Amino acid sequence: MFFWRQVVPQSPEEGLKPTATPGYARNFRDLNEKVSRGKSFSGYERNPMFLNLGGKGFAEVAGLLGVDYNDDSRAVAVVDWDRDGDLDMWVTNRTAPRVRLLRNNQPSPHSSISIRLVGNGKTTNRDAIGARLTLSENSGAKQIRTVRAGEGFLAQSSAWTHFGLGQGTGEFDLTIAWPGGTTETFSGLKAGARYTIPQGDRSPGDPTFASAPSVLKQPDAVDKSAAAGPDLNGFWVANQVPFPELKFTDKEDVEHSTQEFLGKPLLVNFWATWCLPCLAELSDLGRHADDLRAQGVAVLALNVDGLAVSGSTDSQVTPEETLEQAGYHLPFGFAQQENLAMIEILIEYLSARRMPLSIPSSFLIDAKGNVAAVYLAAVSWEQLSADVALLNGTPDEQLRRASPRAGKWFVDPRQIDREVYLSDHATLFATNGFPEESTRLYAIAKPEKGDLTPQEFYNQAKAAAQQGLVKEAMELYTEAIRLDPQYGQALTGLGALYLMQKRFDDARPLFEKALSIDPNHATALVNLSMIDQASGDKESALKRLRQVISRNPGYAEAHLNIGSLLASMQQFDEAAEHLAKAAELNPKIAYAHYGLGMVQAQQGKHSEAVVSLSNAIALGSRNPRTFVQLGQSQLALGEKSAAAESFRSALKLDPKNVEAQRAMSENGLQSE
Amino acid sequence: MFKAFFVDTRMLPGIGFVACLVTGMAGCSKEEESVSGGAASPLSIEAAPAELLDGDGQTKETARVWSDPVKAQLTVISEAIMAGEANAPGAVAARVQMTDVDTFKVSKVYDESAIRVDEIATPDDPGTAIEVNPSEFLQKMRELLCLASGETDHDVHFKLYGIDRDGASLKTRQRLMAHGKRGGKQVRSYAVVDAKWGMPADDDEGGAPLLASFSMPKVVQSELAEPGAMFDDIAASVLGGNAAWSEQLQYGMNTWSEHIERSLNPDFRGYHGVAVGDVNGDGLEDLYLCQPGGLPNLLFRQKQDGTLEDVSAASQVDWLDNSTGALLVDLDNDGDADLAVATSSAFIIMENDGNGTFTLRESLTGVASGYSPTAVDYDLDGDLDLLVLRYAGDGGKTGDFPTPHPFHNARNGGANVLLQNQGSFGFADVTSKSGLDVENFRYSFAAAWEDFDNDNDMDLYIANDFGPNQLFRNDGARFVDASTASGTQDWGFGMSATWGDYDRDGAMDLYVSSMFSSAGNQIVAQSDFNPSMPEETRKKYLKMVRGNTLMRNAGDGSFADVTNPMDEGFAGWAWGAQFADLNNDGWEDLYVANGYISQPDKDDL
Repeated sequence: MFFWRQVVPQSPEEGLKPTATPGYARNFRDLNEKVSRGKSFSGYERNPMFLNLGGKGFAEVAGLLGVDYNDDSRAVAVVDWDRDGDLDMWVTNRTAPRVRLLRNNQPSPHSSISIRLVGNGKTTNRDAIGARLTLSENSGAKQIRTVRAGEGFLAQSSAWTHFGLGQGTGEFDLTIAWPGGTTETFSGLKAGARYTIPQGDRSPGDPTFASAPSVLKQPDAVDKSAAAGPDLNGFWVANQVPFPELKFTDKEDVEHSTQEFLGKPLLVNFWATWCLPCLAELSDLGRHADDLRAQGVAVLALNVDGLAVSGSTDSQVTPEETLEQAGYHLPFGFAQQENLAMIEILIEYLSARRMPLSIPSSFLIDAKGNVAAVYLAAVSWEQLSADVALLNGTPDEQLRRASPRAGKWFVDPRQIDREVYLSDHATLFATNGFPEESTRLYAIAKPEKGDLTPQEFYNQAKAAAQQGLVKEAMELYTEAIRLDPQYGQALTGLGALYLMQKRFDDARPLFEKALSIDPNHATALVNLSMIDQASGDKESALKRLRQVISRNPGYAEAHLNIGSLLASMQQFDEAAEHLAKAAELNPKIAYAHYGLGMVQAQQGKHSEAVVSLSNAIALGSRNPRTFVQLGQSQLALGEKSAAAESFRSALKLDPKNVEAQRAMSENGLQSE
Repeated sequence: MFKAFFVDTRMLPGIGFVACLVTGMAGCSKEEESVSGGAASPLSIEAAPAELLDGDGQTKETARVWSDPVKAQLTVISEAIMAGEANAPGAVAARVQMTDVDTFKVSKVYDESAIRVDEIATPDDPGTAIEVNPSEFLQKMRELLCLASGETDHDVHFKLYGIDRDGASLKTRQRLMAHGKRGGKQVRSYAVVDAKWGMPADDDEGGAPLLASFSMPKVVQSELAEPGAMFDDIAASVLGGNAAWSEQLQYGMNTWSEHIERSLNPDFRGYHGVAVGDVNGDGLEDLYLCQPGGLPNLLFRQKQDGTLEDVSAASQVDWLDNSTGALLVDLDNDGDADLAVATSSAFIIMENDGNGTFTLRESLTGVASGYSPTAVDYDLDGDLDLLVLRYAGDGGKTGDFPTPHPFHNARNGGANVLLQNQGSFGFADVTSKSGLDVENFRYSFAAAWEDFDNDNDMDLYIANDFGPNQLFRNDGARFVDASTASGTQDWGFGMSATWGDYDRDGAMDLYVSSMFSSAGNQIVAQSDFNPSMPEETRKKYLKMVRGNTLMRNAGDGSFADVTNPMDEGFAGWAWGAQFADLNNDGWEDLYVANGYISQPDKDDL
């Protein structure tokens, strides 16, 4: 229900710009992310078949007739494949098998006529596409068909035109209106026959009668048991990206970086003592230590014992013992949880799938530090050796290895804008909480700052801001704005940094500029309302926030802000509504519960206040005021001992809290 | 007494600001919060890391609160019916109001070619209700639906698609589907059920709704006279001898996405189509399959025995660029089938040498990432012209769902291109000249050509996602937008379209694939779904989630939506759909491809 509940209702109304409802695009991105992380989206739906009830409606018969597959089906092409006089269908699927041939085993006594038209190639195209065929039965009933090529979603059906004959028997008349004007009429067509009719021939020619090839009369004999998976392990990386810098520790707990290994090819392997395939893999590598040296490739085995990894179990042996047992005497170290998160981002960028890292997994990195191959299972020495050799192969050889099955490229997929590709890679690290790695990757992507696009300056600015590099961030935002003065997100980004420094006079024109581009720009409105408040203009602040909420009724933070503002204006009833809405929309905002509790206390609703404030505390609120108000509300309800506990908590957080001290002494509560 | 609890935050009141400060957007995604942590506001310490709206957006919605409990109860009831139980404790009230199924009258609506369809209904609508106990309710259902416990292929289930409060109780609408047997013959039943549920008391934590009323005025029951399926899948027999079958087509996109790097464009969504045509002039039709980036497109030649042989490489058509749709048509009027393929790199046109070997003749990189190519002689000059559709405006990143703007009337899709055949494999872009540049910014997925006004030229219908579809009338090789006047806009998620004279009145009718969404139906109908939405827009949304559409051509240039939403309208996330007379009774039936993305995590978005 995520799609309908969270994404669709955020859509802007007609005529609004995307910046008016930023939650919409963001939630679409969330949707994509959830799909890439393995969620189904209208999955496992069955294909329906609708039987025509003689022109009076349809009835669903797919289950009855055995065609209600729950594949993710896509295209349907209709053809009498086995030439037995009834229509079969080729259906493509997203899921396996990617194509089905649905053979019609029609026990019907009814017959059919099939016709293939051939245009003269002058006034009419050879395929006779656009020709209208009218078949008349002896009863006078008519059927019409038109020759078409390509219809509906990604499908071209048979060039033969098929008429089912129902109760009709005997002979039939056919009229052909050829595209371009001429019309021909034939009589005496026979049931059960196939006719090829060239334009201008006066007779329909000799019919062929329907008969299925014997092979196609047999039941489908081939084993349909689900296949295990293609004989492939991960993929070769056609468009290489830098391997993230991983910081791991050695057995003395000294930190190292994967960058130390640059200069020659490197295999980074992730393994665990509890993983049996890992041990076989490490033995294999250990056995080939001399070969590896000869090929000039280094190996780094990073142990993931004790980290949160899927499939992890307790193990009785130490990593060192295991390596000894496996005969592995090459470099090894201990991975950190953060390494795994970065690897998952790398795999997401390379495959558009966000998968938990499977153990074992390995990465072949070239001498420059770029990922050349990804192995999502144990890699054999043979495979590794071949891939190391391929590092020095021709571009053609490498592209062949990247394409899992043979064929030819019309456009080499490596003909991309590499700077953009690498910058997007850097951005993914930025948006997943690795600003330092992102900055490193941006520097690789675009060594010359002058080449950056406004969007890239913006992305870098965001990454810098996340690292607390405010000055750098401001310079980068300014650069983005210099290149694109209409760049609304950069304007509000820079404005927000000014706002943080309380430089309201610098911030205001930036937000106003953003508003001049989009009068409903949500971020600009929210931030301007804050400046309004700072300068005492609460009415203006209120007006701006109301505008945001009218466009974004599902925007939790806007409700929070307006609730806070209304509370400060002593409009408690409406404040409570918005704060409650904020808490409902995003139950994780502790402050919404805190604010709501404060307002409820003001309204004298102390039992409700106790609930809200307790929620805030459960969500991690460590503001002494939360505990003080909780204590006061508990006192109002006569819950003295609970109140004492709350005041004590407040004093623990702030031993000098005057309100808590006073409340304790005024009510004769014990400080222990 | 008012205490100004915001007093110490006067400079930066409200942490929402702080959390949102650095972003260029108003949202508070994770990346922004690390900055807010260093912000000056004393309240910023309260800022819980919050993914905006990642929690449930509209907590008070009836659908959100009660949809899952009702579904769970429907499952309990289905299982009790199947298991032959005398009660479904905790799911059915002690007394249930139910339609008196004993008064049902059977009318035969179809009985031909081994299929019989009955309509079993109350003599009047809504019929009389009787009060029964749980045992009687379950038993009556078993008898009506021909279900016997212990039969492994018997099944009954409900699909919930409407939910609302009704005073103190809850009302829901669901579709019932059952698979039983009568006298050794398969029996399928479909019905729409309106249910009412008694609600648990407010202080009853974990209490569930109890079925109190079950109104089912009509059941459609179909029966197959002969045992065994009428269709079977013989792809393995036909393709089995080829490595491409065992090593390529046996794996779905869930698998391939782990073995093809993203920049090779493997399109995880699996928008890969099919073309049927005779490439070597032997009178047997051959098969061309479009494939994801990194895997070759496949051409299989049909042998006399009906099996297929992979000739992709030898025929020069084994493109690895992500391909969506293809055509096998004679573009130079020399009597053989040439090839046009829509790939992510270009629209590729190849000439057939007559024996099924192809030579590249034209590649239109300006028409890359096309969909559903079609061929037609729109200007009646004796050669075939080509139409290529475009979906997302930016060409569409692999695997990504686009962001239609606005959702119900998106105008940021791609531009469709009509290519006029200039002879010798030269094609000219006549989109504008022909008049097809009207609202040419929709998310177009599929085209269907037909002479709907019986004036001997081909008119064009285009199915567009996220908004209205388009009908262009051909007036002497100029297209006139007839979408609104003809009543064929069919506001929705247009995925596919097919023409057929389903009622045999001599005028071609139209069937359009769209989307039936049970979640969408439940949520859009809620009064708190985007409360500021204009009523006009809400109506469009409600139409959008209804499902597929059957439009009857009145013969005078106008069409009427004659869809029965619970019969031919009822598909899920529908794709290709084709009219075809599948049982040779002289009436065009329909088959619909269905379903978007099935993954191991069945929890559906």
